[in-house]
Amino acid sequence: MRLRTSWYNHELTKQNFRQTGWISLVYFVSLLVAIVLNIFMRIGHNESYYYGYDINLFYLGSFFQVLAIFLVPVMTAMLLMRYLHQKNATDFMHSLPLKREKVFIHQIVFGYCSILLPVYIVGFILYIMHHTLEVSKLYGLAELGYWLGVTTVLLSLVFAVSIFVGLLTGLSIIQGVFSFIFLLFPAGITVLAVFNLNYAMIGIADSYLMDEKVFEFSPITNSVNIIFNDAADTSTLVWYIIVTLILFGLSMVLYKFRPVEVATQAVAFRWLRPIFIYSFTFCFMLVGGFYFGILQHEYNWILFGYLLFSIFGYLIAQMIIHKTWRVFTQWKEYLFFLLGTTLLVVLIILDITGFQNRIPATDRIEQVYLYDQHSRFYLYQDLFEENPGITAVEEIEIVRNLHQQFINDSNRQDFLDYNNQTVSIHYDLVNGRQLVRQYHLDDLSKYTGELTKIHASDAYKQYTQEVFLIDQTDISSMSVTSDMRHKEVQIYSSNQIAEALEALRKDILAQSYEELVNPELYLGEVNIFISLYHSNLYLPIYSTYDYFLEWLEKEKMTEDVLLMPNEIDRMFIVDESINEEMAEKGASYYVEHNPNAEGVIEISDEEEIKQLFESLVPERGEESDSRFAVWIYLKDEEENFQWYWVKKDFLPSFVFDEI
Amino acid sequence: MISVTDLKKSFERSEVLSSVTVNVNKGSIYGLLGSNGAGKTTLLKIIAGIYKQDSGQVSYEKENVFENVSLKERIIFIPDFPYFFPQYTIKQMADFYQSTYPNWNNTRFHTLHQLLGLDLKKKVQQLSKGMQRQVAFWLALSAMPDYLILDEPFDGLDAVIRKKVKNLIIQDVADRQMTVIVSSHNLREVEDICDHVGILHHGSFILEKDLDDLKSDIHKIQIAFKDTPPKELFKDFTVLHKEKRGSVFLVIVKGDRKKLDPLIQNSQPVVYDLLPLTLEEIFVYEMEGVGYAIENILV
Repeated sequence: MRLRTSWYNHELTKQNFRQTGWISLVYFVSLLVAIVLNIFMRIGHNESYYYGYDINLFYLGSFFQVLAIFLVPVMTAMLLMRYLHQKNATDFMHSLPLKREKVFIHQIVFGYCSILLPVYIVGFILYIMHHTLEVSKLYGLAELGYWLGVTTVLLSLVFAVSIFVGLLTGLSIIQGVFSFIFLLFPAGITVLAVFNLNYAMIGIADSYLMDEKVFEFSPITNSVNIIFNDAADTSTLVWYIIVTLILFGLSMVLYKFRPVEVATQAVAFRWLRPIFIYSFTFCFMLVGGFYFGILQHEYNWILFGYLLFSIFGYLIAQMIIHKTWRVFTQWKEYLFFLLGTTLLVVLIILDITGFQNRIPATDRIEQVYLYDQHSRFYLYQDLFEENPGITAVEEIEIVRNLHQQFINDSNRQDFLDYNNQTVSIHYDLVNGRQLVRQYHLDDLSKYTGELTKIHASDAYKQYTQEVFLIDQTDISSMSVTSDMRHKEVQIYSSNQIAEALEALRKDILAQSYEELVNPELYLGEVNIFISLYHSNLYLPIYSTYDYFLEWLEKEKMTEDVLLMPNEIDRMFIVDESINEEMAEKGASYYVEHNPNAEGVIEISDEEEIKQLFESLVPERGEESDSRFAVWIYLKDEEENFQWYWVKKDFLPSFVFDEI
Repeated sequence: MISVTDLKKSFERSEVLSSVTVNVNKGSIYGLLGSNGAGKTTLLKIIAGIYKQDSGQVSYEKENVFENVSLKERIIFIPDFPYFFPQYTIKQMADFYQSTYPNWNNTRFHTLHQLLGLDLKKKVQQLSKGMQRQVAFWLALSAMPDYLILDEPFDGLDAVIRKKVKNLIIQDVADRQMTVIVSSHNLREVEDICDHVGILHHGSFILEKDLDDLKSDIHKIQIAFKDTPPKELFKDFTVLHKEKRGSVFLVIVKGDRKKLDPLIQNSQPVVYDLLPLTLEEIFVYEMEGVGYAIENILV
């Protein structure tokens, strides 16, 4: 006796299985090959190399796994919704004594099982393997759980999107294509909108949005973040689950109102058609602006791009809706589109929200970041969590002042010129909101004074320089090298590392505005190996780094790492300004080929060398009158030399006697 | 009884059905006639509960059909091109019907198997069009529906099978009071089984008749008089058609024969014949009466 009230229909299940079961099967076999077989292959190898350090089950056959997460649910949904898209099938199914909800729930549950079953069977196999084989180096139960969870959430989301799209259209091909368009849409439209808004407005923080946020907007682009992170942001996964549920709910409602006769029509609901036409045209228009903006950097071309691509988009949308090429007589909606878009553009250009001139009042600002290397800034924010920004009132005032100047000096065209430098200002406001602006400026040098004041601030140094952000425990070793690289000391002791780091930080914080513009003599560098992300951090050592030099002295390392006067064999001093020929050929020519020429003096007396060496102050200006070139040759190392531009005024008097 | 009241349906902006009202009595076979594009299929699909009407009502024994599962278990719709799941054999399709329609009768299924002689293990979609249609009837009749809705059902069936299927339908109507609606663009195809006929044209009925009434009500009369024919002989009857061949008048008259006979006898005609009318002729004249030429409406 058949249970009439049950949602389960055995014959429908059989039918579904005959139609879509193969996808499930192929998915299962592929997961077996990509993961289970892969693990067996790795067990055979004893080299630890194979095990790597970050184990995550998604790394096994990762390309296939990611591909399948997006392809399998869409294909399954396409086949399961096929009965809505095929005229005779849809008539047949809807003539049967089955309620729509029942059929819908049946299809969803079946589809859900058929895409998840392969994953869970493989999960079960992995679980058994974990208990019976020596695979603990490859994965643990936590990794297995993570893999199952993330795969389930992503598969469900993609499946829900595809089902939803399937109900909005009457064509399977449109369902397939638009499933992916929908999945990419939030990211795509943001990129296009931000990029195009930049043509009309100054200050849009495109780097902030495009480099940092935009990838998180689409599950497709975000999947890389989710899958290859060992721990995905739980809130993202929760959001995906919520969206999945909402989409299933909406789909169910849509199905109740969906007319059966729309099978084979591109857009199933009449009210959706204008929305489809206008939004499709709008997106195409933005693509046109994007394309010509990148290629031509010119407003006339961009306007041309808008017009051309909006016509393309409009015609394509009409073609999709009417399923014919012959749509060239229908222009009424395009006219409305042009009117609407023109109005929108005018509103944007008039900046009715006051976006462009908004600078928060000082008392509303909790902290502010100013930076010109946005990708590095966000990398640090990601790696080291939130780093405090500028909070000192006078510094905030400088930033606000700079902000006003940027607004005044910016031009809409600046965005199109890729030679321009970009500066960003990121305010964290007292009310918890953020205000981020970015300016594309052709010449930053005219702000040097104020910019350098910010650069010299402790806060700026602390959020832009890695040395303040890394944790001492993330450093596995350090090496200190002389400027001439003839000496090097490796430091492994964590105590020493901690002290050196502390000293360096103090020195960098102590660097004044003047020292930033015009640093003192470069003595060598510290190379910090950061184990956290396997990279090196190089820091210069300047003669003004009192704390660090003191520390070297304390550790009795000074002589082991820095150039000592007693290692110098001879020095040359060249006054390029002495005659035309000298200036033309350059100091190096004379040192190498004609050391006896006028204006070149050689110093080899030990005492004089010491005196001279200690009085070297680098000159970084361009005026040749105030500088000499100094050559240093080491004893026993004829090939190894170094030279500097030095300030004339600081040299000992005997130099002037000889010259 | 199926009653359709003031039904309206539009696709996009074009109206396919404009205010259709029709009643089909229990145990009768209703012939829905109309040219291509008249709205027959749409009407049938709404009656079968597949499409939803924009306004108006379709009810079976006072119950609305749309999304009504218990009612739809007793209705089967066979479209002009019957649908079967891809790759399904006749047996698999039968299993599906069996689980879907609670009145499924296995004995009936096997009896029909003997009669039609098709291989159960054959995939339905590999069969010829005519055979597929037979399978559709076979499955439909095995499900023992109370209502059978057929869209152009005899297209593509050969004469022998057509006869077989018609007999099966008539048998069910006679035995179990099954109600049938059958559409066609060809009057001759359905005249032998229908007891009611309606003609749909541009989305509304232009004519609806009980065939028995029709046949008994319309008369083709050949009449000739020695002298001038009496004036206003048929003034109490509706004259659908009148023509003169030599001295013989050919008149199609609508009305009660019992009243007609004495009237004509009294006028003392030289010739008086009452000729039988084919259904087609009846329609030709009826339609002239309402201002249509039948060639424009039926094949």
